[in-house]
Amino acid sequence: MKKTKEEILKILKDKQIEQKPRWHFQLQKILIWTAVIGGLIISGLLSSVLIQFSLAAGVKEVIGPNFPAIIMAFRLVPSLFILIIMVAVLINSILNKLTPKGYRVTYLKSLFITLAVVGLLGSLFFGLGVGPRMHQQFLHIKPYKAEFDRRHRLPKEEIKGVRYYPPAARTNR
Amino acid sequence: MKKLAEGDQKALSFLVDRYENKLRHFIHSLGKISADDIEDILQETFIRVYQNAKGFDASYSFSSWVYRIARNQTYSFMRKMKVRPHVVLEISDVPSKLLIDEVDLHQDVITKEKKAKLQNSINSLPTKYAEVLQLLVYEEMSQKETSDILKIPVSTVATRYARAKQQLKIVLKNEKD
Repeated sequence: MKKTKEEILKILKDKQIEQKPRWHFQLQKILIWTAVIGGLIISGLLSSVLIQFSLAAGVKEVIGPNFPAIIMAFRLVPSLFILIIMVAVLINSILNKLTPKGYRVTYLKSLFITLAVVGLLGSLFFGLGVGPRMHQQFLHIKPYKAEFDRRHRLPKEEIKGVRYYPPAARTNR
Repeated sequence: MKKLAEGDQKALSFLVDRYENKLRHFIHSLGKISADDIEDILQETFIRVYQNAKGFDASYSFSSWVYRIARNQTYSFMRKMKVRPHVVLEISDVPSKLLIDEVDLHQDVITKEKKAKLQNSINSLPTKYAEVLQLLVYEEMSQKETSDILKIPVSTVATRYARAKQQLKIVLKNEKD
């Protein structure tokens, strides 16, 4: 019995093992929460773009009014939708594995909550006008624009400022 | 714990005295590990406890924290050695009586044969169930402490415990027939 205790104290002395300073753990916490908050903001911004994409193009005309929203969102821009889900899963994994009490909620439950928060943040960013602006910027990305044009055959003329397509213009197409 | 966080090695000696045997038994139960390896894991566990003492979250019980470190150390050792974790519980009279009462199968005196049957049944359980049994029944921990050690929700601990008992019942019933 004595042997273990002495051996441990000897190892600590010989290898000069020191305790990790308090700031090490505080920094760890800060990094974890920065990653979580950063991830939530990124996925919130991406969802606001998705909302803008669907509204600007008139989703109901394309897929039908009774289509489940989540499948509708996936069918609109699959890559964007998958990216949002991936970021949400990553945030959830960080919360679940690395935060002190994250494991007290089941993984599925916390994933559901994370996705709900992402959706709410997306709506908030959209309401603040960030989504439409980002959507405009995203239109400079060729695959995104191609997807937008392919699905909704938008007019090609450039419109300065926030692009808005009135319902009449969409039905005339 | 406060003294340990201040770097007091006497506090560490006190903790080693207090938890050494319990942890040795716990590590031994997590798989087929030699005595020398158990000693190494035990030493590594206490060194980690010393190193991370300043990061200890007071909302946990100390025993949950130290058991979790021991479990993580054991599993990382097993990964290194490519040993599959397999909980091996040894039947000592008191816990097995408790367990037998829990599964409500034998109310009479426990014979050697019954003990052996129970031992085999427990060893045939999947690791996730056996681990919960180990902590709840053998280490006599609460569900919350078990949840903190295994890093799973309390509801999952309760479910696994119920399923473990159910599986034990089935195995023991089949053996009886």
